[in-house]
Amino acid sequence: MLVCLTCVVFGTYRTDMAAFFPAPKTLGETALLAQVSGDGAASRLILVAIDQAPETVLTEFSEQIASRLRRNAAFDGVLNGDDASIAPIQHFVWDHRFQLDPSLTPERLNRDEIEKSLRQDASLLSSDLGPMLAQSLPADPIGSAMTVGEGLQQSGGAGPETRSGVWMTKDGSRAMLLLYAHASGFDLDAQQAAQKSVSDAFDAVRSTLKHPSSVRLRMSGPGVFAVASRDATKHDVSFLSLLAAAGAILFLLLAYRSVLTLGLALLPVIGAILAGITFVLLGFGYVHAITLGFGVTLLGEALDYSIYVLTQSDPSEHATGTARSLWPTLRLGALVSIAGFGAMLGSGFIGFAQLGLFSMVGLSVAVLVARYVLPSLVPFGFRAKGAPLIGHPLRFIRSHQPVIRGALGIAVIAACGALLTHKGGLWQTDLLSMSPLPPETQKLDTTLRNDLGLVSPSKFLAWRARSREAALETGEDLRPTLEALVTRGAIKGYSLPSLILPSRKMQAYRRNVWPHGATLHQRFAEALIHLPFKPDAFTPFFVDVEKARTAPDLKPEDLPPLLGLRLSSMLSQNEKMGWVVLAPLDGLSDEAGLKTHLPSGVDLVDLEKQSRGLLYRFQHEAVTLAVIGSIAVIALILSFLRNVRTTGLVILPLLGAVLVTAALLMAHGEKLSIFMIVGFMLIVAVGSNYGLFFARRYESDEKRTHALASIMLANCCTVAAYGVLSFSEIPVLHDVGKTVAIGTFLCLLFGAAFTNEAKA
Amino acid sequence: MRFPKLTPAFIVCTSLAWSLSCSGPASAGMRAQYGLNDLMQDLAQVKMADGQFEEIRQSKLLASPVKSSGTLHYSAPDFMQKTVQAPEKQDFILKGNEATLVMQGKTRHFSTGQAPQLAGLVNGMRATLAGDGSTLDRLYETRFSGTRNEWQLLLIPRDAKLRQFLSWITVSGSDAIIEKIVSVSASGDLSTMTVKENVTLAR
Repeated sequence: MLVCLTCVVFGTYRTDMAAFFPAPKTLGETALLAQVSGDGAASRLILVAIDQAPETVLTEFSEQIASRLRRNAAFDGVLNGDDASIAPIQHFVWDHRFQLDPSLTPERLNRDEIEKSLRQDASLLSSDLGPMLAQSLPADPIGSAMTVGEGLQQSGGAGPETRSGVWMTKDGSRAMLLLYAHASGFDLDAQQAAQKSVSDAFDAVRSTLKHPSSVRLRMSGPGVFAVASRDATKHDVSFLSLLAAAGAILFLLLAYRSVLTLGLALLPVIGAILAGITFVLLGFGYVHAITLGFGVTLLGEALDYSIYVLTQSDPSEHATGTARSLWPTLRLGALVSIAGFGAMLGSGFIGFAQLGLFSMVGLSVAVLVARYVLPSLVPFGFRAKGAPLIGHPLRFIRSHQPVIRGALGIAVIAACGALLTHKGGLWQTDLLSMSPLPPETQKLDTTLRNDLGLVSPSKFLAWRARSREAALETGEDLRPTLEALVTRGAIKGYSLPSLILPSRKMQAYRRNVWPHGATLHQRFAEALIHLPFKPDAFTPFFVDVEKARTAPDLKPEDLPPLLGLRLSSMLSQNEKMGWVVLAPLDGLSDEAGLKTHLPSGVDLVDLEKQSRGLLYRFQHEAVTLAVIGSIAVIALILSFLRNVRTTGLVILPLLGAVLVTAALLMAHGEKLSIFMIVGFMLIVAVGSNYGLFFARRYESDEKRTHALASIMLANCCTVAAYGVLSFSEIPVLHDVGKTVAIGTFLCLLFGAAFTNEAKA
Repeated sequence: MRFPKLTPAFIVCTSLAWSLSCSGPASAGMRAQYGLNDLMQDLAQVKMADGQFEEIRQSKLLASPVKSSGTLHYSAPDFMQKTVQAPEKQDFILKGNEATLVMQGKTRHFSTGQAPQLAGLVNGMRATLAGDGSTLDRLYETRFSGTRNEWQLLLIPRDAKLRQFLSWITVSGSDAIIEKIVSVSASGDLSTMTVKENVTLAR
């Protein structure tokens, strides 16, 4: 007990969805999960919108907040569209243009090509952009900076409009900022602190306003979501669990009318929770909050054991005697539930596997406590006073079985009909539906991303490598192919990590690509003969080329933060897979054509397809596990009861309950999610216990009354607990809660109507 | 007011302003004098404009001035196309926030969001053509001189960054018709464009 408590107090608890999802098995799944679960460099992004104020006020806010946050070490990048936003990248590109220019080859620097460049320069100079280019032209006549800039721009989106020097929507109603937090989306405390500094900065600016206004700050992005869903999870897990417990306690008080007994009833539950958490911590190293959320609803299930013992205890034989006589049924019920939950151990969802272990350990402990500890603590002569009242509805059903059987029969037929004729697919097909975010939050994110022109690419080229250099070199070898595909129109654009950080090999090549100084001067002089430039116009260029010949290698740490982030979004190191590159493709129109040009080892990853595939895998797995679990349940019951008819009487009502539950969920406009399949599994695990008690033989009417009361009470507590969970906004809690609440209640109805006491 | 110190550009622009304000004939008669707001209202009436231009550019990088000619097209509120026919075909298109330059078979896109200086230039042009006085005033210090038949508008960028390469622009014309645009860069590069245009007014 003490060991358990220590573990529980010092254990690690996680709330991120990444810990709940299965571990990725392929490159494509890695890419997908990085997107869905807020892993990787993109997770540092915070999108900020300021609105509900005149344009001048919004501009002021944007400038002030940006200048405050730029002094804050919690942010690697603060962009609001002003000069300071893009200056680091512009300077980097300019300073390293000859190291980064992918078009630099000896051919590019022969006399004819130089003349072509200079001719183009002359035209550019006479264009409307001339005054802007006149400043850079003398030092960059071959246009390296522009080539590099265009390469970085590809697949980057157009970006938002700038009004009064800051980013704003076209109508001037909303100012936008783009922040890169230093902390990753995983580090929720640091993320929360960063988000707080944003709202603090906002409040500080607002306090300087002469006229307090309705100006509003909104934030979005993976880190914001992670914090919000942690808060929502924390809230739902703690608040809703408490509410569920309160509901169950109310029923117990009604039945027992004794605080002491209430405490006793909770004893197996407390033991179950402590043991469950301990074993999950030992087995997985951490407990997911969602596991905990459900684990606590286990209280609905573990409580059942105390309820069966306490409610049915007879003053004449004391609770120990009752527990002994109930033990075969109790033991079978627990074994059946454990078998059902045990199937979840096989789930790829770490969260469900945890829940499986948690439940198995918890239920074992609960049933043992109910059998061996609880009864000896029950005061002599205890009787559940409220039992006759509570069991009344079940006695009513029992006395009107023909009518209710008819009604339920029709319900099952209708449910089958509804499920068979249902149009539009039974299954949830959107991976986002599993995200713990409410739809409004997702909508805000979409709006802000559109405002900011952030397009999240859905198609990538992916490859693996042993080292960073090897990963970069593969990209460099791929570039001519991609350029050809752009020219052919098969793709609109592409991005490669080597465009930001060339491999060391490539950097050495570019250092040595320049002809001898005198030769370069000679070629320029010849090219300039037919052009209107002054002979000494390009002196700055020759100075910079000399510097480029001896420039030290660019390293990842030399990159400005924003480019560093961009690089790490494309190139990352993964424990299992080594270095992984995900290079976004823009506007892919000829997939087959692209594939024929890809060397082996480079794959095309389509996130949408991956998403569907992964969801299909999850669904397939959930169904398989549910079927395995159900077979285990039936086999167990059959092997203990050794009677096909009684087994049928216990199992068939469960089937009816699951069918009607599924139809009710669909009728409510919901699609079947994998979480609901898990819910069906739980219905079988819990409902089978009712069946076992319904089918049990009772010697007297009084015992029967108390038995029915115990089933009713157990169900009330379960429905209360899971019913409360269905109010959660987190899909997994909502789906399972709703499914189990409806399903177990139906199990009660079906059981009372169809499962009569087994004949001797 | 922040005027540049005694640079050649300053002298040129003040002398221009001076000469124009003196030469304006007092034809407005009894009515209140024609001013910037009236000009903006007139320009705002222009739904479409087509014209031909000739441009001379001088740059310190160039040994001699470059002459070019071509056509202009404006369509309210935010589309402008400048097609250079000689000496070499070139298209410069402004549409919304996108500037596109097509030359020598290559198309370049510039988004004003990515180049704030370009935004100042482009929005200034657009505001002038569309007669959007408030935007123009936000981006530039404006000086109006002359009469309805012979007006001149001097624009000096308010943004220091923009002033780094654009010292000032003068636009002159008659009624809602633009006849001449002169711009001077900070490095002393000078462009003079003369325009002959036909305008279609909104009814």
